[in-house]
Amino acid sequence: MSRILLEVRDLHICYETSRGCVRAVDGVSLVIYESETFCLVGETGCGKSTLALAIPRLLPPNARLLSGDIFFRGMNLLRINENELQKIRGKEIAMIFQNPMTSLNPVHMIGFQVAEVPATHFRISWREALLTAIKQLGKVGIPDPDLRSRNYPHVFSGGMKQRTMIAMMTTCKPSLLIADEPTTALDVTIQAQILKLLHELKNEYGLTLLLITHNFGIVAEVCDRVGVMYAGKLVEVAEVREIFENPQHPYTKGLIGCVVARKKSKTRLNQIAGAPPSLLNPPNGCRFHPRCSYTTPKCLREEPQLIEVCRGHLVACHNYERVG
Amino acid sequence: MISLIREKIKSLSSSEEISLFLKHKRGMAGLILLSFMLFIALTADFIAPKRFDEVDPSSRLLPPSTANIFGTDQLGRDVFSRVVFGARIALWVGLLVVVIEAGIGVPLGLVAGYYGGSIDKLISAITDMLWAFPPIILALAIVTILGPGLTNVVIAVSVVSWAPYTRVVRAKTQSIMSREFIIAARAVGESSLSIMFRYVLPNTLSSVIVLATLTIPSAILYTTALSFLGFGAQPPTPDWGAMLNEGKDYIFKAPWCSVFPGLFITLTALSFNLLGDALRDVLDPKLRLG
Repeated sequence: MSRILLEVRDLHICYETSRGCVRAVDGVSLVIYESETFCLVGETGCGKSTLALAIPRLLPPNARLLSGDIFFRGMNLLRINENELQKIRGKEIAMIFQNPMTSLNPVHMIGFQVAEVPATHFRISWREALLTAIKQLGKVGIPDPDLRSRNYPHVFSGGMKQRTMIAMMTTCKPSLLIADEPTTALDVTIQAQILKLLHELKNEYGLTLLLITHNFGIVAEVCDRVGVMYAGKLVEVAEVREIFENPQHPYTKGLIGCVVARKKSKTRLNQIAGAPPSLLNPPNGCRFHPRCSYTTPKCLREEPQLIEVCRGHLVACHNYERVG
Repeated sequence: MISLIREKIKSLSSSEEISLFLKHKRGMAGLILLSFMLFIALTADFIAPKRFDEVDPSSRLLPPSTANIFGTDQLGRDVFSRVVFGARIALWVGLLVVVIEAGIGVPLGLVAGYYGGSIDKLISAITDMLWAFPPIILALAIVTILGPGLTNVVIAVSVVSWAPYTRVVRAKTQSIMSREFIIAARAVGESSLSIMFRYVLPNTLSSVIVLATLTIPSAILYTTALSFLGFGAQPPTPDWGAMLNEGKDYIFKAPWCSVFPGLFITLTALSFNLLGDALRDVLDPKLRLG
């Protein structure tokens, strides 16, 4: 593997609510290498979006960073000031959001919005910025970009809006692109196109992709390495083949078991019994123990730490030997 | 940039809003009435048969006739000419007050809505305090301090009535701040100032435009009220409020001295209200200020 681009160390984030502190990210550490595609997988509400938003420090106001560090190329993103951060956002770290329908400003033309990005980050004239924007719109597959750049977002379809978002976020050729469920709001054929586009741009610009999803099909398709999150914790990290062929954590195993198999029709879909725990007061010990079929008394008492079971494969489970 | 603006105008002229507005009967009535007022204000020099300050002691308090269609006042001045020149003052003052109000209220609302927290609390507290005062009393107090005169009246009225702008823009800003494109703007490295003025402000403009047309009549009414009380335009300025004041002594003997300025005040206020309601229905159906 190549050099480390991003390192998250022991990150704790909570949301302050009227009922107490919701620990959305609870002690996550992970490393992302340059020009790889890292997938973050997990159920809704397991903290994967919070983790993603914390990297460019775009957390909502009620979120509180309790502790931890995020190093991007050796620079601690959580310690630098807002001005420096503005220079990094969009230029070094860009982010694509889940819902393209609301991610574009309804009162500005498409070309104008994309041109804002190079105009903000480089000392170029507005005309040049607009030309860059049109070129980039063409690159992400918007037909007739010159004409389309003068459209307003409401005339674009969901797929075109997401393409526009991708154009916006890649005009400055960032080194890290965070995509927070970029295809969830789109239909399946468009999903495939968008993923292909992201993959092409990644190869062309050599960018690192942090992809957040709950779709194992996407994971298998585009990822190099996978991190599985459960209830605010990272429970397993491994290369994509390893995750599918040799899952060590019971939760990962369950998740993969839930994927619909094409050949086995007429059998019931597998499911993981129970519901994810409330993050207001998570269960003691291993957070997965109430739903786990391998639970031992140790799981109730002691929280498992991430340990390396084989090269590049980390698992947080006391009983991984029995699971694997 | 120019081509951008041209595009915007082009897309605006073909837009649904315009055709909706053209179908709005009361709105069109307001627009026609307002155009009429604007027309007489702009062409006052040609329409008015006499100067507004031309005194003729031999023809005092004459009833309407072919020579003086609105009659003459206690100094023998032509009421019609004075009313026509008065339109200029009323419209100009109304516009000026609204521009100043929006100039104070909109940025405060943006800042309050954008930053929230203690800044929001402070601005909201000031706004609430202003709401609590009867505006005309406060304006009277300010004019008393500043001294009479049209400029001072404009300042006084603007200073007491920017609060609705702050309220509306703050609320709009808060709702826009929760939209995803604001996070997206931050994600591409836009500064706070740029987000406030280039992302949030354009999205609040429709509400501000509606509010402005709805506050022009009250601005005109406040200034004429202050002029009526003698704080505003000083003689011989043909301010409608001042004319009402001067005419009130002869209300039974020569009602035309006060009826015509009063009628024009009503018509102007009405035209803006009709227009404002129509704009609200078209641009911002959700904004109903009761």
